[in-house]
Amino acid sequence: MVHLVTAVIKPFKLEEVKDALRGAGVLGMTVSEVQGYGRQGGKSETFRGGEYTVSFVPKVKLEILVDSSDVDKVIDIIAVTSKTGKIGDGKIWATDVDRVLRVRTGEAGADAL
Amino acid sequence: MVTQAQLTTVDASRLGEVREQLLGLRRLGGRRFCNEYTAAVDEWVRELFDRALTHAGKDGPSGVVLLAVGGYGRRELCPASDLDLILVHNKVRDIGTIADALWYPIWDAGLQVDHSVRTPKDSTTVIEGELKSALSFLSARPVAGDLQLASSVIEESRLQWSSHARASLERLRASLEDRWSRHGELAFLLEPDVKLSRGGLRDVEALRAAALAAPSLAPFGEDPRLEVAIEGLLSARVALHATTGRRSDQLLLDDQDAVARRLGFADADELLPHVAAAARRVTWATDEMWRRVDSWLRGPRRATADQQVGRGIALRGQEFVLDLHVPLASDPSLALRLAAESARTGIPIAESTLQMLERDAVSPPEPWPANVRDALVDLLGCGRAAVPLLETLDQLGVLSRYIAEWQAVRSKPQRNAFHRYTVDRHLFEAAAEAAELSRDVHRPDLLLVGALLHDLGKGFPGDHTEAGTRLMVDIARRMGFDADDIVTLVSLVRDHLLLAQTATGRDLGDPATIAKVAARVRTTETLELLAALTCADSIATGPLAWNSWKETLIAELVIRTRAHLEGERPPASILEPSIEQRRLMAERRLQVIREGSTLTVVAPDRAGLLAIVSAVLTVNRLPVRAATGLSEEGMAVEVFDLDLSGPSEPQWSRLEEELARAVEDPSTLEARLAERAKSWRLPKRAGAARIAPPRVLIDNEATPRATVIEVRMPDGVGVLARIAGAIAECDCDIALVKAMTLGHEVVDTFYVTDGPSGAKVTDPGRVEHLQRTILKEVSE
Repeated sequence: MVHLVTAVIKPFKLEEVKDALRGAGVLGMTVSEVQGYGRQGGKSETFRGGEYTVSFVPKVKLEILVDSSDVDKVIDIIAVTSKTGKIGDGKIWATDVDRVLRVRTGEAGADAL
Repeated sequence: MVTQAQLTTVDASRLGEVREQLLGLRRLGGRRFCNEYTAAVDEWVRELFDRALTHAGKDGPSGVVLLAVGGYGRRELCPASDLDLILVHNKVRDIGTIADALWYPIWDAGLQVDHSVRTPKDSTTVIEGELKSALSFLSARPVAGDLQLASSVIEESRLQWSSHARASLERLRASLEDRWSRHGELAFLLEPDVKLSRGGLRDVEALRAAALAAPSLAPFGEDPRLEVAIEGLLSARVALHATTGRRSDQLLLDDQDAVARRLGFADADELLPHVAAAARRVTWATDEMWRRVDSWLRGPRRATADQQVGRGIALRGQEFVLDLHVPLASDPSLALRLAAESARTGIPIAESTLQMLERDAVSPPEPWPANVRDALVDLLGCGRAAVPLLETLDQLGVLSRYIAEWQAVRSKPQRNAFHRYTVDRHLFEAAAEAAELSRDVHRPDLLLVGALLHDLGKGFPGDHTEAGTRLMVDIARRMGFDADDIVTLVSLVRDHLLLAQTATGRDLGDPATIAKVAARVRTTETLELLAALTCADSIATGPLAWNSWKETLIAELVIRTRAHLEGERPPASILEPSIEQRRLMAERRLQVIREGSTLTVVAPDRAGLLAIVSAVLTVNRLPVRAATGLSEEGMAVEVFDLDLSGPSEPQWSRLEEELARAVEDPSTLEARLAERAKSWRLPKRAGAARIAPPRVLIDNEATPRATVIEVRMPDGVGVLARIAGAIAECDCDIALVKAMTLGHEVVDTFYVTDGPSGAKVTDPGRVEHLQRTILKEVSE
């Protein structure tokens, strides 16, 4: 069984989280630059003379496929590493993955991780 | 119908062997490989043709000819090139059989073939139709068959092309511009296409085609440097095909090292400047050719007298030329001013003048005189319109006479997934982007120079930021910037990555992060410059380096750092008169003192004094580069830095008398100022710089006692006099003025108070009136 762990974190925590996960044997991840808002909401300030409204806050999204037995460990590592204790630290969630295929070899399921 | 089995009897393996053998001879070069390979293909195709005729039961080639066109026609076949072939026939029966018997074996041999079958009449209608077909007929040569038929078709097509030269050239030009916009400029792309990019082999083909349309305007084959360039491009293309085995002509990063080694270079860093130099030569020849053609297309013009545009620069007909009375060696600002004038108006520089620049333009003395620095800033301030002019100066070897270090980044490739341009072009692009942001900073001159030089370190060993920082110390000093400005310029280079790296890599919510950045940046002015530089640099780098995600993060960092810096900002220093000025003011009468280009005017203060004095300077053709002024106990002191590069020596004694008269009675001044401002303006052309409209900001928060007015606009005749006049018209007193001209941009700050009350101008209606009056005055 395979799970997809998705995490939305603060951009500057990316390197730290990546190193921690690599240290724990997680071999691959997909990273995207995303923008959104949660409870933190947007904000507005002045920049270069004009009113500057930040309605979506920049975050980094990680997507990691893991063996189901490792889900808790991976979530824990991300949570501990990316925590600053301040608003906007982000969120982590995991979902069941129906099937996975490694394109080059055709391996499927956990073998494809 | 024939079957494939019957046709594969012509042996194609020999052709493959010849190709491999030729490729084995690495020293063969481009042109010779192409010639020999073309000859081998010719031989093979001839054999196919003979067999095809036999197969169709024809005795001889009468009425049928096989033409090689395109690259094959020009004997420029590269290892993976297509064979472009046209089978021309005089209504021969069984032509379908002959054609099949030709094309199938070529396909079977694994060669790509672009083929068509036409009658002589088809051929001429094709010329009237699609440009690509017309061009292929221009490069046609017979490979096999009826030679008489071939020459009549080829002659007819060339006649069609040249007898409609005007239409031919216009179509050719449109096709070039379309292709350039899609494939970019070869010399500056990190993954250029040696055929389709601007400066590539397709452009050489266009040069040939133009020469056939109008041989006198577009001679071809007389420029040995162009021949060298073509050989450079051809050999790169041969090596690329040989290395990849593919037809693609794009030099991808992955293949560049292998291609470089094939050509005897150590690596891609050696190869790319070589290819870029070749492409620049082709582009140069192309631009020169179109310059002549365009002037011919426009038709003859009435000869008009030269119009003086600036010192040493004249407009002759549709081009800028140098006024020969001002030797280039006598004025090191001339080359830059000429380029700026051309960028601003879109009017080209005459070819003869470019040749003169190449030969005679001199390096400025060190430190640079202010007008040379201004001219550079002025040129850079033209933004995107300045890029081709900077290119031209670089191509002529003039740019490196100003900045010797430029040589090190010319056509220098960079290995980085974000970048799309070579270092030199990236710097031009960054300066062009910075020009768009020049109204967002108080010192656009520092922003523009910083943008132009921020990556210069990439041409030198070691970390590029460290190398660039060291270079900037030296260059900024040579350019004649003062000590404070040198510090700012150096920190722009040293910290040009600071904001981008901190914004994405550090916790912006952590006060320590902000304090660290603030400590590096030190002032809000530098922060504002760094923010603009970061934005310009990122946009110039490529689409991957800049997006709203990064912009948001950087904006947040800038906002927080600015708040931090403002929190600990010392109170603004107030301008005070010097001891010498106090002594002059104590005499309580009008005095005019000149030292070099500095003019100090001390006078009893009166409403509109600054407007009067600056108007007198303007009508006497003395442009003001910078001015400061203040008023104290009924006496005003105004200090002007004048631009004395004008054509004639000012008459100082007359100026003094005129000042005295004007202060007494300024009534005639306005008319004379208007007259002076009306002096002709140059018409704008396509490609002229986009100039932002004037902007007037009024700030009542900046200081406790005065309203601050900041005016940003393009320089013009009597700008300071007009703004000061508008302020006086609104019944406001100028307590303090600081005016600067940075390149072609005016940055004027006035501290004003309400005339009757002596307090700030706070009434919203009056603030609006003040703003409107100034805008109206400067927009006229």
